[in-house]
Amino acid sequence: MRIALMTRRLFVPALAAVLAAPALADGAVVPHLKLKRAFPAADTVLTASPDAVRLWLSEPADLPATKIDVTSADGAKVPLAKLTRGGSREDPVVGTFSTSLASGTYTITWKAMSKDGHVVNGKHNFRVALAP
Amino acid sequence: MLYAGAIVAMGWGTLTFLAADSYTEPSPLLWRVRQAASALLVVAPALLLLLQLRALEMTATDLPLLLQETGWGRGWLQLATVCGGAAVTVLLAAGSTSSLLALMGALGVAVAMGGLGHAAADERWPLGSRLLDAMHVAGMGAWIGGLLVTWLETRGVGGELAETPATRARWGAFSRTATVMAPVTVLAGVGSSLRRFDGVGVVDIMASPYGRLLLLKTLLVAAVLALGWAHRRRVQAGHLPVAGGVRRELMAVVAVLLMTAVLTGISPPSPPERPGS
Repeated sequence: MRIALMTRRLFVPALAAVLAAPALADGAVVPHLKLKRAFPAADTVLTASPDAVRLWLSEPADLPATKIDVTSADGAKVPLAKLTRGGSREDPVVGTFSTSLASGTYTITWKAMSKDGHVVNGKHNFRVALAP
Repeated sequence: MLYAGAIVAMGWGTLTFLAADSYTEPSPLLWRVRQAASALLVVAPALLLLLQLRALEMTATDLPLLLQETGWGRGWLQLATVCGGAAVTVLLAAGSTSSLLALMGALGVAVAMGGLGHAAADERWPLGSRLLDAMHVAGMGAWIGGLLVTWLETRGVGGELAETPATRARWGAFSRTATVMAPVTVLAGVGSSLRRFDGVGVVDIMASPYGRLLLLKTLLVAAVLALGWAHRRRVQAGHLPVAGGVRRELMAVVAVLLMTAVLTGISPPSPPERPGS
């Protein structure tokens, strides 16, 4: 009788473990998304117009939830093509510029979602100084 | 909100699964609480989705992309599905089949919640992290939810516990359940924390908002355990818990839940970058 009752009381955690098993088969992910490096990097001065913005994130962020905006010093948005990312987890998120950038200061603002749903964002500036 | 609904659903499912005959005529108050839990299990996931859309600066037209093409979105779909099921099963009258369904529904919520929280971002131990989180939620639901269901069911006039054989039986059943579920909850919670802080020093943990809040939560849980232990001793001696003590225990639980909700929205401190990574 005692064994049957104890078995019944242990049923809940045991069942939780069994039910959790299929859910646990999902792919592995890293703890908390961070920006590892960027191109153009923060506060760099480029002597040629960059072809794209590249963000290397600590985990392969889902593209539909990733956003990159580039604005010029006067607040005008610089058009970017649709974001892409290579197949490897080390590949950066890439936003290709539709046009060449003129000399000036630009701000990159980005937003991405960690696997646990936390939205992470960042912002930094870079400068383009083309030869006259 | 989601935790509150899950706790009531788990408490109801567990106690009626263990002793369906004791709950064939639940009190009106308990019925209202179950209805509220059902509503929370529907509203909370919807609110979570709306808040996430807002945080990502997405609109309703982006919804299919978010739900189908992101890991979080797929996790949310699983959560919303099981919450919808649990919202129905928590309203079922106690019986051998319906109680099993209620328990399964609540366990589904625990598993889905384990897959959508911080454990979802664990790369090194994905299975273990989610298992620990699921067991933590399930154990807490059975323990605290059981406390709430038992208290609501046995409250008499003026909020005091009626000294009847049925009341003693219900408190005895809950006490035996809590004796197992409280350690399961605490151990799973400790395991989750150790996993989350893998590679992070104690100084860094305590210096972080997450670490300080977790310490406060731990102290509150210790208070709940102490109160629960005192009640257990009274029940084992053939008495009923003191009604005021049960209310204090539940108030401490509410504080723990609020703290948990805050912790869910904060990032834990990360281990330092390994060289070459």
